[in-house]
Amino acid sequence: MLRPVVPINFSRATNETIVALVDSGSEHTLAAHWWADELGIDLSASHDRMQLGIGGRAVEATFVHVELRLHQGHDGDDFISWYTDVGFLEPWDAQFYLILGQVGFFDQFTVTMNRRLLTVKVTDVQVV
Amino acid sequence: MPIYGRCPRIRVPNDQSTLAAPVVRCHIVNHHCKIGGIHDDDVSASAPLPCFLEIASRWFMYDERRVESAHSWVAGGYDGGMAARVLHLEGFEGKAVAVDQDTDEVVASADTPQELLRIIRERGLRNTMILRAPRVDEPLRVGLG
Repeated sequence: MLRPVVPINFSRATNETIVALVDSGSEHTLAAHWWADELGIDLSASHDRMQLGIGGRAVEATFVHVELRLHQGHDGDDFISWYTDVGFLEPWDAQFYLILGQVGFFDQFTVTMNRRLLTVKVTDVQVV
Repeated sequence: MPIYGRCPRIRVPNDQSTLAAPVVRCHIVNHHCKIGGIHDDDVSASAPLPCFLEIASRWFMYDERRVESAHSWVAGGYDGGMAARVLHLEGFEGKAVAVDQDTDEVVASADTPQELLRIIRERGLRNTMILRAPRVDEPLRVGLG
């Protein structure tokens, strides 16, 4: 299995890096519900909620404005950060605990994937 | 948008010099990049942007010299290319795992991601990234599905 993934972490209150799936088919950037607890986010305070259809069932996502960091290689000090709305939801069955979708990632970067070359290129859209 | 990037640099073997912001024209041939090509598919880089080409941590030719680079394809101020990973998750099916970013080997696992985070923090594990290893009987998932 070969998936386009990039190392991401939430800048707030946690240093752990997540393997995030770059998913152009997802309209939103989504994360497992338990991350909100780890980040100290009170989801009940957010009124930005949306029903999403996932795997044939309806799931409610609660959106919160957070900062994400995309890391370059293995150097933890070399990253780019941006703010976006992330939808937290449960249950979460996906292998990756963060899904980078159209809103929140593809609107921030130009993403080029090449399976033959085994690469995912992420470029700041404001630079190109 | 704040940018925390760095000017990409490449090292030329047997030269010890470091090149920054070279002005090149490239095209890609069989995973390799040749400098100086002129073709419709050329990718141009011009000063002052720090641009050069490199494919998946492989090599390319610069001034008829083979050049190795750890960087990826750059087209601007942020070097964000990622090479594919081959994760070794055998024996950890269904577990939340922490994978060393250098070796791609599992260095910690737990039944839940919350428990895994506690282990990572207790052990002071650095340079890891977390994900869930699929169960043996789990169908191949498409994104969130």
